[in-house]
Amino acid sequence: MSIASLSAVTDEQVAALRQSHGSVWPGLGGMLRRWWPLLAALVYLVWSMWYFDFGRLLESSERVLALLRNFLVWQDMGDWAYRQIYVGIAQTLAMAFLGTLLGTLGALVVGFLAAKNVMPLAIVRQAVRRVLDILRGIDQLVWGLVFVRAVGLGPLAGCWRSSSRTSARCPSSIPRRSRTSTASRWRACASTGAGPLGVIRYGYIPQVLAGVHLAIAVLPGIQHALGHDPRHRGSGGRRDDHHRTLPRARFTTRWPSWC
Amino acid sequence: MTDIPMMGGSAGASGGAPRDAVATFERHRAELRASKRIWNIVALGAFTICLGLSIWISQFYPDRLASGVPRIFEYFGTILPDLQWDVLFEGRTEDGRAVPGSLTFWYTDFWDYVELLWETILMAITATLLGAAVAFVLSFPAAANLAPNSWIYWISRRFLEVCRGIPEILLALVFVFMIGIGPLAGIIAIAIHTTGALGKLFAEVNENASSRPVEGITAVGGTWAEKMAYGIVPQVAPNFFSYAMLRFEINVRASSIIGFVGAGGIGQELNRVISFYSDDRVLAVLILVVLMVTIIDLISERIRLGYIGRENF
Repeated sequence: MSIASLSAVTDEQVAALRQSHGSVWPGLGGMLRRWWPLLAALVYLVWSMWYFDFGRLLESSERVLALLRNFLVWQDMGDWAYRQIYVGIAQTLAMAFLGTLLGTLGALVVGFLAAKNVMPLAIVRQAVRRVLDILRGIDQLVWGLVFVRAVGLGPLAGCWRSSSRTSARCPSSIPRRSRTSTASRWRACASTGAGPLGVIRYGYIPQVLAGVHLAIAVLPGIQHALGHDPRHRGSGGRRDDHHRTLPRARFTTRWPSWC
Repeated sequence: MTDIPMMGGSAGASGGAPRDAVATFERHRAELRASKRIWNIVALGAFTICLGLSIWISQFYPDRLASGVPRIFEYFGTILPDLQWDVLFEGRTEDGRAVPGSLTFWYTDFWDYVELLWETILMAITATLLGAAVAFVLSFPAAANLAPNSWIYWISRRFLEVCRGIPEILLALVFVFMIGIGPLAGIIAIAIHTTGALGKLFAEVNENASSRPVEGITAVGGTWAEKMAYGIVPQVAPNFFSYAMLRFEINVRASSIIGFVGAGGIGQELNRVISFYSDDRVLAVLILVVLMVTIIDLISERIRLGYIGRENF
């Protein structure tokens, strides 16, 4: 029905308009100029599908189905090591908790050293920031391996790893946020007559404390999954010599028979 | 005067009313303080219990810490290369051997590393593109103000949550079992995680978009797809791009470690050198990874700032 009101304009008139206002209706070149990023992305995707051998997805579909079936059809549930699963969950939670706590405490100290409006010395600020950049640049999994060497296998290494990550992440968000959202709270706190410490306590800390690190703490389990001999699972790194046995043990991952 | 008791503080006869108000206020304040104190004590108690439990579970004891802390620095000592100043820039000798103590010796496999780094970056780009494409499609039904009906909204929201709920390295582990060792498993894992994370961000951008263009297109009889394509996309495209670039930076980090589970990239090499006690190589690879991540962060920040303007940060 909306078309009916437009029927006064004939196709010839539209064509004439297109001719006289060529810049409004771009030709092929204009279209290319507009859409080339998308086109480039598409071409790259197709090329990378060839490069990374996406065809293997189809080849291995039987194996995928077998694995998915094993996910859904649970066998021998009586023999499952429930104790280890629960211990693993408890360790995950403990690592999240301790890691976040320690990391936040570390971040509070370090973060203010890196914030422009708290730390007036540019040299200290920049040095702290570069160190934090390195801490962040190296992934937590690598830190985990380093800590495993240091304190032995087990959740303690995970704790440290989470905390090192938290202390590396939070400080960068303190100076960043202080320029935007926190600035208003900061001014609000200052306007009530709070001293510098009061401003930090009520203006900054509520923002720094935000954040849940549960998902981060799930990762240390990877080391267990990869790394160690099932017999040792749950021993929680009590034996200090574990840090020497880990790397070799990593190759004892039990692959399913059909792999 | 008795009409306004609040003002008459010194008036003897009408003094009861203001004192009542003050007393009520004080009583209420005391109640609030008492209940807050109780909650503080409860929270502190819960915190202490959690702290104690987690210390007990993770064996976070001072003696283990005390014995562990020196070993961290010890390890950093062992991964330092044994460089000697007098032969530092020596090339290979005639029989093709590198002199121990030279940079050539330290970075013997330099070109292998570069190749793996290149593969890592390609993995990150492909995964980001794939993830962003799916996230783009799903972000419209997952936005509360744009979803055609509540069922589609619910399903797409939950789907995105599942995608980003599983850490990518766990996904990679599963995919390595499924389709074998190689970068493909890593790409799919990162792409799935990217879909979840970006989808949520995109949907939030969509929810903040102005509804007026959509109303305009509704008025001329546009379909849902047309409303999205001409009403929403032009508003949100710069933000989408910026978020995708941000995600790309994260994905570079992710793909540099995802090789630990056999899913391709530089992580595979890092895992290998750590496992085989090639200690100085560990540092060699780590330096390259940090360099790559830093350079890509810098470039991507430039692009983002140039594209959507500084005022948006």
